[in-house]
Amino acid sequence: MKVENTSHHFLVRDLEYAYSGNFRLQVPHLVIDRGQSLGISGPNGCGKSTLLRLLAFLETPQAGSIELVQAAGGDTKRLHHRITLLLQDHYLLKRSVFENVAYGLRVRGDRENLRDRVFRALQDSGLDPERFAGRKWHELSGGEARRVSLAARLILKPEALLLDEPVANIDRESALLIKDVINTLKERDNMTMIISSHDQTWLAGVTDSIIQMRDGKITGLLYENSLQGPWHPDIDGLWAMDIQDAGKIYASKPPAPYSRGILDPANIIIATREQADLSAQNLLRGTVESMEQIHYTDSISVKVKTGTTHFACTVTHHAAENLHIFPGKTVWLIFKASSIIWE
Amino acid sequence: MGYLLEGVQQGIGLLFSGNIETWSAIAVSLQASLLSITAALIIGAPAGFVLGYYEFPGRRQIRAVFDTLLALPTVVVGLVVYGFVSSRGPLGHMELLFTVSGIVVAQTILILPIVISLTASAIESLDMRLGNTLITLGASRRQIVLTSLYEAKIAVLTAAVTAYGRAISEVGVSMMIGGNIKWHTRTITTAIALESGKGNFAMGIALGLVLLTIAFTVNASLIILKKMSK
Amino acid sequence: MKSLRVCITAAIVITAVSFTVISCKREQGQVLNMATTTSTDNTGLLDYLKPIILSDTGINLHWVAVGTGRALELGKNCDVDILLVHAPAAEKKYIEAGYGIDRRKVMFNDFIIIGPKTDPAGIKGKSASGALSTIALKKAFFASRGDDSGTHKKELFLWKEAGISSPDKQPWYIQTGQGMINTINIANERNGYTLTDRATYIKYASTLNNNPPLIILVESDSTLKNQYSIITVNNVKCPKTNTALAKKFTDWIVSPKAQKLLGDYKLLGKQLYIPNAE
Repeated sequence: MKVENTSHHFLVRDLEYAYSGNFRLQVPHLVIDRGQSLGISGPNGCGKSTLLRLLAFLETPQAGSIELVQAAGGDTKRLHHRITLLLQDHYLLKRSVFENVAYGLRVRGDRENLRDRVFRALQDSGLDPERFAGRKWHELSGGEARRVSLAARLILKPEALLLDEPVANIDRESALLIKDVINTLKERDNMTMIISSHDQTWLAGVTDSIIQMRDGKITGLLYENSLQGPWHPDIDGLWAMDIQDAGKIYASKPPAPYSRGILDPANIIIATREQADLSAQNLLRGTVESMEQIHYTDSISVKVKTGTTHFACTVTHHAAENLHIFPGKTVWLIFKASSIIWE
Repeated sequence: MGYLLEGVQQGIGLLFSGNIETWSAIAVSLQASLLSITAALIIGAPAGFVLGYYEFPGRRQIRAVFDTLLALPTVVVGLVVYGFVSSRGPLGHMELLFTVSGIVVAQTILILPIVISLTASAIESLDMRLGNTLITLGASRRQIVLTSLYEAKIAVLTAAVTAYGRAISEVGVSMMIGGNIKWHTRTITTAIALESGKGNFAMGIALGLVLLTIAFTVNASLIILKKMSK
Repeated sequence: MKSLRVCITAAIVITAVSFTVISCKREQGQVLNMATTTSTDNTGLLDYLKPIILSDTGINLHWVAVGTGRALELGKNCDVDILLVHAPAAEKKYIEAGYGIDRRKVMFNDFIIIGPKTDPAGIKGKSASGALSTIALKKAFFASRGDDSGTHKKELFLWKEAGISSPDKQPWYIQTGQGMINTINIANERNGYTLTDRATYIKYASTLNNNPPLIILVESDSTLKNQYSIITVNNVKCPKTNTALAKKFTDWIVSPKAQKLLGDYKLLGKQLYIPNAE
């Protein structure tokens, strides 16, 4: 039975790319959903940047294909007008900050309210427009320059934003700022984001799921469920975090209201019927969004959407068959409050 | 030596008295050189971009050819173009010989290698990250060409100024193709050649002064532009 | 962006302005293309005649002034309609070969042999042949045009008449490959002799307050006669030739009125040409 899932955004099939002799990238299958925030992690030279560049259609693969799925009712634009990439090795044009940010709109012939949009993009990137708009390209610090490059891409309101090592070699303030920007984009604009970084901790704080790469191949998903809070005190000495349209998640007391809680997918039980009277304190209802074979194992990674949050869970092949778990099915997630570990 | 100073004096007098012979030659020179630099830039800048931006087989060899053509002797260009535009030549029907248009065509051919070669160098010296950045911002191929040329605008303008200097100060092409016809195809340089051949050194110096002034103005504007863009 | 736009606009404005300046001078009358020699053009005769030609015949005369050899070649290549040259031997061959038609004599002037006031070789007052023989004998310095011009052709003819076969291999004989003024100057530098047309000599002398270092030593020899003729380019070989207009011009220049103008034309107060149309 073929299920057409229009929430897919990027479809990668049998991708192969090789350059300068030995390095070869091979991604047989990768699906990224609309609004998903995907991280790509791995050591230097594993192929993260190459994969991003391919996803940004900056390079052409030797084999296979990448499809950028069209949203229903959306007007067809050129590929490069729908997505944008901020390279680690970013570059500013030799002109003012304003002109750098406005460039993408200018090449699209989109000049309405230019000044307002540039100013807003600068603000979104944490730069005070009054101070920065008039500056020349060479009058910026490294972090400021990167934020300008970011603003130049945010202004485009792309379907997807790709970031290659956005916080590598920058000051802490800029790193925090970029993290805020990404989170705002996730919540406010539901923008698909693909971010690569070798810093897994930082990456976990801005993405829903992370794929691991090594030697040009995807070796698996990084299994973490990241629960950012805010946490507030609730009944029975437990603290809770609200999920829109899905209820609450209960956990033990966090070190701070905005602490990050990590939930191992292995600790989540998937049930196909609502249970009552459980010793575990978390029961959330959700819909199965996607399922994926975990390489070299018998397990399947199941992504479940509860309200506005996603949970990564695992089931064995066997269990998936017996419980009839498939994408679109309503399920209940059960896990203990104590399973949530504080960072 | 005396005739140099005398010549400068008489030259300045000729210019400011509005001598129409002098100004006619100046006008022809300006017209021909401006048209030829425009044509050379329209054809040469994109061609230089392609040569500097893309990797393809034979690129280095083509580059070498254009670098050699940089020093084309003007009389050689004049002779070759004459062969084409003469009445008996393949392009004779276009009636370019002894016209300003003919001079423009031949001058464009003369300075095209300069524009192409120097633009290619300018593009090559651009930051390698520029191309990718423009693609990620959604620039079309045409926009990439134009934006890259604009990023390298100082170097491209320097190429243009160099090429222009060649165009306005050359004699061989204007003489052969233009014919030095008074009022019609007499340029500053062919007039200088003619007048000094006749022994009218004053006129020659006068025109030489004008040529120097034009060259100086063009170069000075480039320096000003450089300062302004900083 | 702004500064670049300003410059481009300025350049376009200058181009447009110069366009109109040129265009204002645009053509009245019908254009006739002529090839003539530099020495003819240098006398200013054609500049003087041009407006008169226009009002008398409606012909707008355009001429290129090049060496005789190139002028003949331009006719062969059909790049001009008519020739005004002064190399009778070459002209006759030209007509025989069918490149030109309707050759008519127009006027003549003469050549002179000039040299230093001290006349080291002692050629003053001799005939042309005699002078050249003496120069060859005494191995005196001689500057030749060496550029296939009318003057050069005449010079070679005179050497032949004097019985001297190839002076160009001699150390005292140099070929400058340049115009007449420059050749005279080179002769002067080396305290030597040269053959020149009278008109150029008149101009040369006047630039030196009529007291030039090289003076006329040999003249009035019949072999020194310099005959100017007008030849129409043959429209059989060159179909685009404006033969009718060329004929109109030819008829005009041999007419009594034009002939008188030619004779009366003065360069720096001195007569240059003697009309002799038949």
